[in-house]
Amino acid sequence: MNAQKRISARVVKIWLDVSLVLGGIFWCLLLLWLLLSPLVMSGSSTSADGVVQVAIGSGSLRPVLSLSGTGSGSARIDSLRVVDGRGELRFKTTTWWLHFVGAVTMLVGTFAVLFVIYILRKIVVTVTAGRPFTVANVRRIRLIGFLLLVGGVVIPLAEYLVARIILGQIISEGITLSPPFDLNGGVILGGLLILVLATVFEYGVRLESDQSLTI
Amino acid sequence: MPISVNLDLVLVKRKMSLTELSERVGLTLANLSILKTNKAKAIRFSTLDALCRELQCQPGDLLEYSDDREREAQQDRTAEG
Repeated sequence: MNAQKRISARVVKIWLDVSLVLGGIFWCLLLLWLLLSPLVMSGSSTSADGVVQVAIGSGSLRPVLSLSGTGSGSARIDSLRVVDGRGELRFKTTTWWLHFVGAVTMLVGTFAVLFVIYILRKIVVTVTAGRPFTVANVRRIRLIGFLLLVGGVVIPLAEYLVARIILGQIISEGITLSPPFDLNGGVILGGLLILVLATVFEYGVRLESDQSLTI
Repeated sequence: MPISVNLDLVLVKRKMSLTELSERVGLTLANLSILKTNKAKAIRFSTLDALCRELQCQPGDLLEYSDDREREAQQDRTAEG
């Protein structure tokens, strides 16, 4: 590996280190804040903020909200609808678990991202050492692929369940809100791509082994 | 692997050490050790050429083919006899 590539691998490693430390601090503070919030909230009327992703209208996959409107001119408005509208519902609550459950997906999602960064860092370390084609790296790449594949399904499902629980507790008047279910196609496709890449990498490991044992 | 390398035998016959051979043929001691312990998956013609030149032998002196199944059958026959 030439010097330029080695330097760029080191820069990536430093960037991953910084992301891991900052992300770790953020995750710990988030957990601490969530765990300490019942102490702050109990016995007083102090309310805490909560955020939940919502869809406007009824139906989960493609929610529709019918609106009424009048128009003039050469064309007449037949119907007016908001289709697939996504939004964010911010609320204040004195109930601790309602405040907690809203942040659970963020807590789990951040942990998964930190874990992926940790695995990536390990791969970059082997790249800087000049021996990236190892069986351990195949396992690591495959793990990232599976995590993305599972994350692309599980996180939207968790967000849907959390939004369902919270919306069950909040009475919204004047607007119909639904728990959204957005499968993350990009993440799932990325996961599949990485799994294919892991298989190609496995072939590279075999070639490397053959090459190093050819005298 | 049915092909084995008899480098140690040839070295004994030529009264040469592995270190001396590595210096003569320009191979590392680690690589020669891989060859000697039959861990190598392949051998380059250039390596074989250098080894034969320095050890003054033929490729057939260094390499030996033994069919595992044939050897097992022979062992069975001996045991029965």
